[in-house]
Amino acid sequence: MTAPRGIIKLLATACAALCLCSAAFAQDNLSVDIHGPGQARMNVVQAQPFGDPNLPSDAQYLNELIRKNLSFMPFLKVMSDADILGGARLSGPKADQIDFKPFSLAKVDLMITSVWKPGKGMGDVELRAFEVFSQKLLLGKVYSGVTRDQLPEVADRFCMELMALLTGQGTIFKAKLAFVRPSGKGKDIWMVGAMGRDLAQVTRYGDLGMAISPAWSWDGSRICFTLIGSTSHYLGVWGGGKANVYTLPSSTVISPHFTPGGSIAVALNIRGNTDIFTLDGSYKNTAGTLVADSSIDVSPSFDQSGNLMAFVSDRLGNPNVFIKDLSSGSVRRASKSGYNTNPSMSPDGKFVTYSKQGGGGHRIYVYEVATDSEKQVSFGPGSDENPSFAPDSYFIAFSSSRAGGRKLYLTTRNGDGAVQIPTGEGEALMPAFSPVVGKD
Amino acid sequence: MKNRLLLAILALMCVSLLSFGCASKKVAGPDKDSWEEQERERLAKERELREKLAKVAGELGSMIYFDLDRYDLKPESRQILTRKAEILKQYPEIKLVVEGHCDERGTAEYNLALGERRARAAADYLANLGVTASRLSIVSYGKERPLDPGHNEAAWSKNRRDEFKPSY
Repeated sequence: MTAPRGIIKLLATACAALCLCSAAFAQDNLSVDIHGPGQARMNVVQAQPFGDPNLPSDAQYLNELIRKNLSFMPFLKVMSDADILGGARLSGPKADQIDFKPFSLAKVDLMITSVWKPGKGMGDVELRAFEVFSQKLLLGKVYSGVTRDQLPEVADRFCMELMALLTGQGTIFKAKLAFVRPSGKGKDIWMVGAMGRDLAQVTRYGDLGMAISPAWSWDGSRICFTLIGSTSHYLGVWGGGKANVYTLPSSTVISPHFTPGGSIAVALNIRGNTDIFTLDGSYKNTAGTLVADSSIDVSPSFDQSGNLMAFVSDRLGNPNVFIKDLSSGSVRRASKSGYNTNPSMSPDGKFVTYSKQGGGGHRIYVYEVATDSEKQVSFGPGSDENPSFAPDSYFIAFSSSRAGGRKLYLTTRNGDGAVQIPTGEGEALMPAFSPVVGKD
Repeated sequence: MKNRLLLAILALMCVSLLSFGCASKKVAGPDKDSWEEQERERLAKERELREKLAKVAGELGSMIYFDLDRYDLKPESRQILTRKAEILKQYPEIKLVVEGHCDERGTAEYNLALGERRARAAADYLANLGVTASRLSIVSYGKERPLDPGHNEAAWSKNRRDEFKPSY
């Protein structure tokens, strides 16, 4: 899961001059306000790879990888080669050799170029992003001596920088998701990068058990989950290798979730009702009670301060999402009407996303704490469930049956068009973002 | 008078300790042996027991059904449970696992809690008929294991159910 050493080295030698140019222009040119209520899309086009003098055979592969990454940015409209008069061709590698007119005529806002030069492996590749209107360089990076295997990493790193430049946030390209995949009679936990890379199986219970409701520790090193066996539920905790299984003082173990403080909050039935408790460090006993009443209380989710906890309670009849201020003990209702479950609090504590049941299934909603208002951000068809906020508090992953079998999708808190996250063969459900991004 | 009060408190404490699914779990902390191995053994014993019980296995295993978002027992369910209680009295060595299930329309975690209420409703009823609480355990599957994979009311009404598995 860690970045190859080679690529770290080559990034260390990346062209500093190009980077400095880009930073200087960033604020004066194109930018996207991801904090607003949605925005117009920016037109982006990729020029065909330019060989200086020769083009390696896999040059197009890097362009495809970058194109896929760009398609995850809902504020970009990725144009095709055919949209540009005469094709998106470069007449030379440098800015003053590029004819921007055909791109300007096609209303392109942002152009991305890749120039290949001789070097080790496939060679050195220079990736640049230009603002077409001003013909200014926004971002430039050199990756030296790259191999084909390193190209996904190159694409992710360049796009991460580009998104950071445009929006101030680029962490989505390094974010990890845990999710659930049915396997025969059982279910297992898997993980994948937000762009669909580095797919890996975490648990292997097969028909023996159902591992569901994965949730990450706040340092990104562990995943806790519910394990349903033939006579009881158990708590599973994975930290690499084989997961530990814990028998708790309740045969019902629902929605375990790490608190930012490092303990686990979980819904247990100890007093005849499902209430939310914290566990002690050994996971043998409960350490404290977060919510307890005569109704069903499940699905805790915390902001990064650990002060706010969203949870589900059916204290008013239907299940609804509430937010508890853990320092004052005050509780406010978030969801406004109907059947609302699966809350995920944004790490910055400003939003809660959840699924609301409608006529044809569930839809994803986002509640804004400051304005006490909710809005719909997914529109089916099928059923959209289990939303999870990304570490940037902007992107939201959820599962949907819109294309038949359940798969994972990525949208934003503004409800931008959802893009499917590649997760390989089989269904994928219950996505959970790691609260932190992978380290370099 | 004081002694009586003390006895009443002790009796209450005992009753609360016998709650299903809670007090029966005496083991706590990480499982030392392989969970998978223990689960395989549990399932093998269950299969063996079903074969041994032959005739009554069907009656012990007969399901009960619930209305949408409800966990109260219907009159026909009470009859089925009464018969199970009689069989359990004849076979004192047998325990019973009550599984609670829901239809697909709710979401997974809330449905696990609702399924638990359905399982608990049946287990409470059996306990009221004299089955010792330690012979009953409950496990909720929520919507994770539908009986009928259909997406219509006919399928949903079959999936809102309690299943019963005899065990040692």
